[in-house]
Amino acid sequence: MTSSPDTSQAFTPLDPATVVQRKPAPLVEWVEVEGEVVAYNEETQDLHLLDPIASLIFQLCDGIATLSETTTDLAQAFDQPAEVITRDVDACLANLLALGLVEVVA
Amino acid sequence: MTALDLVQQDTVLPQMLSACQGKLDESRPWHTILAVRTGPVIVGVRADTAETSAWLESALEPVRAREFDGKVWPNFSVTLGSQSRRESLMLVYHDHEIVGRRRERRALLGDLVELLDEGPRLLQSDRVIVHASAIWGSGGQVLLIPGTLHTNVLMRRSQLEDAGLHVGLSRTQVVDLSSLTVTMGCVDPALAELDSSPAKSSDDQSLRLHTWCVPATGDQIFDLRAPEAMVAVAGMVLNRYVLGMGTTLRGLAGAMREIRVATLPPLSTGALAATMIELVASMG
Repeated sequence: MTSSPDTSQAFTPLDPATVVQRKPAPLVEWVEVEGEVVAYNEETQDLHLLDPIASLIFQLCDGIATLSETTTDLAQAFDQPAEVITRDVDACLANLLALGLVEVVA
Repeated sequence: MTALDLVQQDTVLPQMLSACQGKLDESRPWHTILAVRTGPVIVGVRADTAETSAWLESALEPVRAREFDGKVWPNFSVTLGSQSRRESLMLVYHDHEIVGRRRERRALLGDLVELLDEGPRLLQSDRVIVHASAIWGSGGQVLLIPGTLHTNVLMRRSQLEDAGLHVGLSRTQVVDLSSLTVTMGCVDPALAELDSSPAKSSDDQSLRLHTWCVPATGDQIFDLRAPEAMVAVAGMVLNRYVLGMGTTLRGLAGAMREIRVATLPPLSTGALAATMIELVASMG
């Protein structure tokens, strides 16, 4: 089992037009418990516990919205500068991609 | 059709060969291994004396599978001692591990029946099978502790029973996550008929799950938040891949709202028994 994605690691920023999607079941099974997501990666057979922010970003990976649209929504919701949100979202998505929980679809 | 119907009939339970098993095999002359049917699985039971073997033959008569004699492994070994050692403990081994210690034959048979029932339990796939020991008090609420501590609990069984606690002998429990009940009775009806000890009544077949203790490396007991609890208990579900992780996670997510999940650090057997008594008392 691993805990929430580590956002302190170096990562390559994603293109704002990138579209990311949660991998579908049964590749990734997940459930939300008290605002935190417990996700299972069938391929690695690992369980992951995502913190509330990572859980929110994971759930926003719907395969429709671009990264730019998602960060704009989050910046408004949290009343934070878009560049700050973009950096955090990029870092989180890089880890979710590395964990195999989400995939880039466009 | 039940989950058990999907298991191939007459599956002979294999045995892990080890140095410890070899030592037990050589420790005394063993009598013929008796083949016993438990659900769709055939297991082997042997005894150390002719008298014990005859008692087993008689006690297990309804579930004997004589056509498999000579084809089974010694999955279980029973020693009752001799007349000259009347006071010695009667033992049940599962492979090389002592899993039952009693002074009365009736109680030992009850233990053996519960152990024999473990095979079919593991083959069930419609409810979660948990690697855990079950302890419950007069209130009828169950406490689950990691199966790795099962031997430690058995060593303090008398102390726990003196304190009014009951200890399930099986190291695997069948848990219904929708009703939050732990099934204490035998899965195999034929075995259930053998286990007619007064302690087993129809009332205690299904008990409410109250507290689920998970292994911890720390030095104290503390309650886990629901998300962390879910991850911890998922690791104790033996058939999570058979059920599907999605089904297991959704079932556990519902359960975590209703039960207490606490960490259980490594403890001496005495401290573990004292902790169990305190935890069961706190369940009310």
